[in-house]
Amino acid sequence: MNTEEYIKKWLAGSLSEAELQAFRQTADYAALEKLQQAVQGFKAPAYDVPQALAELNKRKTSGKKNKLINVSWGQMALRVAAVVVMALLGYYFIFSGPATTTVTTSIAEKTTVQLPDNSGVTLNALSSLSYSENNWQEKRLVKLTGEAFFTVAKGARFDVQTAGGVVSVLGTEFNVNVRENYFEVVCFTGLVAITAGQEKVQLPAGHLFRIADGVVFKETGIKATSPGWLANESSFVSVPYKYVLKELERQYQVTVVARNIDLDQLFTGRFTHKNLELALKSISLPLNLQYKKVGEHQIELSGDSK
Amino acid sequence: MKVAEKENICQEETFNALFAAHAKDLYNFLYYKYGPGNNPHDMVQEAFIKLWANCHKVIVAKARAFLFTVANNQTLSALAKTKTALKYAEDRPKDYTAETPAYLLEEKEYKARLEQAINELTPEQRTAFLLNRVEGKKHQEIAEMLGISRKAVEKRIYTALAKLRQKVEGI
Repeated sequence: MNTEEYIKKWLAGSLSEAELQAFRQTADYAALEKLQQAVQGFKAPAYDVPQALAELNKRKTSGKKNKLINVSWGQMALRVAAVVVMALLGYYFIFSGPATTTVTTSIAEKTTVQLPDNSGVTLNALSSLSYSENNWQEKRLVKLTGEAFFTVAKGARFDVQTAGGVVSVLGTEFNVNVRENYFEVVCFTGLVAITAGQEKVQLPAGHLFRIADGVVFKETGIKATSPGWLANESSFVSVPYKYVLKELERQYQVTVVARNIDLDQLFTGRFTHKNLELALKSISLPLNLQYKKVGEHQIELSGDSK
Repeated sequence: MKVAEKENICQEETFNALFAAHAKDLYNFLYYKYGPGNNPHDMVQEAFIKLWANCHKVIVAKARAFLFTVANNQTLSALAKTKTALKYAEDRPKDYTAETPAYLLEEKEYKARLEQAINELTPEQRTAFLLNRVEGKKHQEIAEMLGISRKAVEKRIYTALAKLRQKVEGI
């Protein structure tokens, strides 16, 4: 038996008594014994099984709580709801921001609004315009009550939504006037499409379309390039007289009391926004009416009592 | 400690018995293979936590193999750049009294060479060798522990011994 075999048997602890006796005589044995002694210094520290188990059991129970959480369907639904709410809020704040912009004018006030695409809107007295700045790229849509003159920049379809109907254009100049039971569109350049209830009208430049008290009225050959009110004059083409009086009330802070007047008679003419006296003359004289200032803000307009 | 084969690991008693049976071996295995710097204690804990979490999937007979594999993998992934270094126990009781200074120096040098040599062994050689020499594990036990054949264990131990002697004795 050579040295290697001896060593291997020694390592396996399978040397017989006689073999061990023989092996002890060799120099290898002394070296191995020395190594064997020295190597004990590398012994792993004693492992305290009970203590380690106690530690493990502590972690096991706390770990269990973290890992195996019983989630009821109700809780899960709440979590899902919370995630959805957060997502919606995030979407709202990122994409919608301040929802809509609204511009309102009061009596005798006019204002100009610049829309996100540089389209311009001039609002007449007692009017309101609202639009969504964030959705503007997707949809050019404004909501209007009252009267406004639009100068629409060329581009996608532009809609004016009103109580009287929807006015759609691609890019032109037009005036929309929406009052109680009154809807009027005047196109100055380009072409305007109007959807008002059953009525669908294509309105070319110089044309006027109006529904007043359910009566459709169309007029052609309007020469003006912008509505009169932009120049502080309200102009009327065959407008029932009551709407003229309402316009007067909007431009001057007055209430008009009409006596013995046919409010449905048609009026064509104009009045200034700068001088009440002159304006009253403008609307009363052609119809042979008398006016009288009753109070500071009240006008009495009377027809021929004879 | 014997653990009945049919029992479920999810049962507290069975689990504790498994711990008592394997924790120390697992600890020693990790200690010798990766050294004290790689938290053998924590790795044993982690392995048993994992066994507990998977107690429905692991059968008792496979628990030991599961533990060793898990602990080994966890240590490997945690190994990062930590050096494996076994240290000669500092507080080792003196074996001799009245040594000559020359002898003391010789001993010191011998231990230093041994320490270096042990750390230069491959983790596999070191594990097998120390489990055999220090822990007194039989070849067959080591083979089962490491999932290799008894012959391979014998070879590893012998190679490790030869390497150590070469470096320590200059043979």
